[in-house]
Amino acid sequence: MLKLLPRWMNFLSKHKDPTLPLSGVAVLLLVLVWVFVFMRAHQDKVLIEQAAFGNLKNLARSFQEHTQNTVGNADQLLRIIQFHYEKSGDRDFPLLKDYFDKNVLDVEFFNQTGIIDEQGMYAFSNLKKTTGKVDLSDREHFKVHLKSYPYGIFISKPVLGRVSQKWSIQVTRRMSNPDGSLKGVAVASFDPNYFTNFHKSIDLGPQGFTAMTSLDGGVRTLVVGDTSRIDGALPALILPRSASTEALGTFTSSEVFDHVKRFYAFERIRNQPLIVLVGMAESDALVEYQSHLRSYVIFAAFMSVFIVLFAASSVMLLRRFARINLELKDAHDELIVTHDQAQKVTDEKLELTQRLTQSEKLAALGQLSAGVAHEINNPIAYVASNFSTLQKYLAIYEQILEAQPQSDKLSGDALKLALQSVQDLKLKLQYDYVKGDVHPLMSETLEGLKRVQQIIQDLKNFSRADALFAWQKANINHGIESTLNIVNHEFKYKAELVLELSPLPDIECVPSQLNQVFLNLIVNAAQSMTEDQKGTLSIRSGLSEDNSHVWVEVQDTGSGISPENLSKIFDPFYTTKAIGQGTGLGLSVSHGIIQHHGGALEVQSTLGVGTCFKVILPIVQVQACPETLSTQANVTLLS
Amino acid sequence: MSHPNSNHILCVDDEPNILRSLTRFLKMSGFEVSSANGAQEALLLLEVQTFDAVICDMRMPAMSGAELLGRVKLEWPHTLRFLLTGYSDLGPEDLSLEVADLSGFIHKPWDNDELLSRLQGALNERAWRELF
Repeated sequence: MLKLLPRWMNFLSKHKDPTLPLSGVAVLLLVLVWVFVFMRAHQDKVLIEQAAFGNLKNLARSFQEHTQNTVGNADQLLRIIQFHYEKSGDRDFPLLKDYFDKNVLDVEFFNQTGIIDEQGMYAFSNLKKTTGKVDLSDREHFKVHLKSYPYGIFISKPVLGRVSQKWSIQVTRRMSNPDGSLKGVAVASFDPNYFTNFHKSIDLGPQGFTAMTSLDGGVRTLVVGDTSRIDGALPALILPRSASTEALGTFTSSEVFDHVKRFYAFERIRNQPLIVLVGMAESDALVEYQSHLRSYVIFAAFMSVFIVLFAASSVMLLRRFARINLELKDAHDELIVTHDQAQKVTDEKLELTQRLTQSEKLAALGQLSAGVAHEINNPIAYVASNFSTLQKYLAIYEQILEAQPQSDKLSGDALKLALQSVQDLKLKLQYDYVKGDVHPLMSETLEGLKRVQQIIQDLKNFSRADALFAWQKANINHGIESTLNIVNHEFKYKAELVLELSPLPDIECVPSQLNQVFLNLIVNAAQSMTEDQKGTLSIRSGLSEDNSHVWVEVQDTGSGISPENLSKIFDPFYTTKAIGQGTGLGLSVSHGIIQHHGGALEVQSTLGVGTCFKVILPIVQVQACPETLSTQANVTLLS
Repeated sequence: MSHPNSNHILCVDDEPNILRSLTRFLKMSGFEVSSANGAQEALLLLEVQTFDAVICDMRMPAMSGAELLGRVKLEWPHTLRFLLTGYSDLGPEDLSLEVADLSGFIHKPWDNDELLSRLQGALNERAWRELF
């Protein structure tokens, strides 16, 4: 399930309306619920119908047995009457009368028992009061026996007894003469209620149905609900064909009697063209089913409501989710764009900073080369000039040497004269001056060359070109001195230099970087002062009290920095110099370098009085990581 | 040690070695040379002597070469004025130089022969102008 979830999310995000599949699932669920309910109900119905039919069949069997027994009893009585009548033909039936009077024959079930003679006239009745002659020749139960009746006894429709004056069912049996001609008909009249009472003893529901009919539907007895229909004039029941051909069976019909749909079971009465029929209204039989169905429908309805509510809330949730998802996606996209832009800006800033840092380096280089050129210029100038003069001196020396008389060849006046002419030449060529000046010339020239040499050395010390970013132990006093020599011209005519360097231990540092800081501070100090008002540039160094740090102060008597500008001087690109004069990175880079050395760069300034920068550096580095210096310096710049 | 038509040159620079090299070279070229280590000293010498030319360094403490030569132009216009300039010193576009009305710039490091010919040329020109 959890595994499926992302796929589902994926699926959702791919579809424009994510609720569509959910609605589909909901509809499918609804259909499934209802199909299940109706199938289940149908199954119940089938089972209940089967049970109902089973019940009806059992009842039909019971009814049939009951009828069978009753008819059998009647037949037994009729057979006794037949026996006696066929044997004696006695009109007065003394024996039969005796049977009845003495209650030998139980006639409890019967309204009347009697004999109809061959003419159809009532000849005998067990009832005491007989009112004259009764003609029954038109009665069906007589007429069927005029010819031989195949079923033995005949069971009639209910008729209003002409003697008993009661509705009764006549059970008759033919009695024959020895020649086979009709001698009479034995009759036993049943109270139809005897049959219908059966119905009352069983529960077939409010619209229950029991009937005894002939094969063609002629009604013998009929009970519908609580009402017994004992009426010979009732129309024939409409029965399916199977009822006249099968010994027993079931069917469903709403045609049989009263257009009420019922389940029926029927069973043939043995040896008689009669069937018993038991029916139960479908609506009564299916009461249970109806209640089941109602329960199912209620269940399904609840389920449907639940599904619909669930689906609706899910759809709402999903829509919300989709909306939030969309918003999130938008926000995410926006964030990416913003991030990209920020990255771009950062990249641009970094690139710009790097470029400006580079130009700061170039500016420093320019400053350096200007300083070097300036410092070298004077010595080179007089060295070159002196050399040129020296050439003339040499020429003078050569001339005088060549004019020198050879004493071994000359003598006397000639020698004197020659010496005189040499003296004249010497005077003319200013030999005395040359002779006196050649040594100062040489020493001054040498001094100039040494000066150049010193500057080259200072430059080397300053830049440490051999190990630009290498951490090493160095004495910062030397760095300060070298730097001062290189940028000497910057302050030479503006300020008096007061140098108070205390002896310091070597510290772990990147010397070229620190020299860059000193250069920055000295040049800044120089630039804050003017030639008009000669100031003082004081550079001091010292050791902290706990011997853990060294410090360098660069103090000027220049213009000073206002308090509001003082907070900005370490910001990159902040400058008060004219465009092209400074990058605005000098102090920022210096600050980065000092921070990288684990030190501090402090400043105190009073407008119009001067500024003092103090560099504090640890003697021992806690984390010396030379290869990251340049990037760290940049990071400091950016931060 | 007299020199025919010897001109008197005043060299001004705060760097003694420059002064000495200029002095010995000009001396060997037949000039009479005086030197001053700054504007102050130069002005004192100018008060008491007459110089044909002043060769003065641009960058000096207290008073710059351009200023000094401006003074010279005002007070001793007869004296020729040359300015020695270093690596990063201002060029002829500097307004203060207009006042000085220079005979020429001499860039450090200079070439002795070239300096001499320019100096000589200027002196000759001035001599011709005075002649007519």
